Amino acid sequence: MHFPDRRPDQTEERILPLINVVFLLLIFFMIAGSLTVTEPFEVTPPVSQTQAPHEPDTVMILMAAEGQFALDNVSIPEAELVARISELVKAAPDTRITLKADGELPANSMVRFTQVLYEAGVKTLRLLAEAEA
Amino acid sequence: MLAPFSAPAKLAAKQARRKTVISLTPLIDVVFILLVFFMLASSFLDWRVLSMDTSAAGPAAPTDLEDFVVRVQGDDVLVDGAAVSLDQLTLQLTARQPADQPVSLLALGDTTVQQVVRVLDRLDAAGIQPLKVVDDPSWSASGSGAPADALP
Repeated sequence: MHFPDRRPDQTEERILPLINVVFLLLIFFMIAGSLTVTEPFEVTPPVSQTQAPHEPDTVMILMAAEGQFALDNVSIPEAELVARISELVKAAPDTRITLKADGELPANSMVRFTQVLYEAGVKTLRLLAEAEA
Repeated sequence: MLAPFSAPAKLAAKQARRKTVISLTPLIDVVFILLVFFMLASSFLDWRVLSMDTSAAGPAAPTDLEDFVVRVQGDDVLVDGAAVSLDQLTLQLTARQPADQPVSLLALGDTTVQQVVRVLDRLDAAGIQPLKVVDDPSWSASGSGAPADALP
C-alpha cells in the first residue's frame, strides 16, 4: 500500500527563527529610522553640542560650501529663493525656517545670507547642526 | 460567493492542502528586500538646531553700549588682537561690565561656519547673552564659489 510522504519539511522549520529575526530587524528599521531625503548637492552641517532637537516640519534651505542654494531639496538660484521665502513669510509669518549650511562654508557668507533673509522678512532662523558624538 | 460551497468536495480538499504547502521562500524574499530597502534608506543622524535671530546689515539701532567683539580667525579666537583660549574667553566674557553688554562674534576672512559654531557653542553653554554673529565688512567671497551677493 502506498502512503503519501507526510514528513514535515525540515528546511522550513529551520528557517523560522531566521524569519523571526529578519522581521524584528525590518520593524526596527521601519520605526527607528527616518527615510533619507535626496539632496541636490552634498551638505555637511557643522557639529554642535547644543541640545535643542530639530523638528522636521520646517522649510529647509540648503547652502553648500560653494554657495549653491536649494529650497526643500530643489536647487534654486539665490534671487528666486529669496523671493519664494519672502512670499512664504508674507503668507504665514510664523513659518519656521531652517538653514542647513555646510560646515566648511565661510561664516561671512552665511551671515551675509541671513542679512538678505532679514530683508526678506525672516526674523528667526534655525541653523541645523549635527549632534556631537 | 457560493462557489466554495458548491465546489466538489475533492477540489475543496485539494485547495486546503495546497494552502498549507505554500513555501516560505517567497515571503522571505520579500521581507529581505524590504529589510535591505529600509536599512539603506534609513538615516539615524541626530539633528540639532541653533536658534538665531536674523539682523540687518550694518550698524543696528545706535545704543550707548558698544559690543564686546570676539574675532574668530580659523581655529583662533582673538580679543583686542590677542589670541585667547576658549576658557579664557569664557572667563573674560562672564566678567565683562556691564553684564548685558552684547557680544559680537566676527568671523575673519574665510573662517568656516564650523569654527564659528564651536565658539558659539562654548559661549552659549556658559550662558553668555546677548550673542550675535556679525560679518566682516571687508570680506568678499573669492575663488570659484559664486558669492551669495554676486548673483544677479
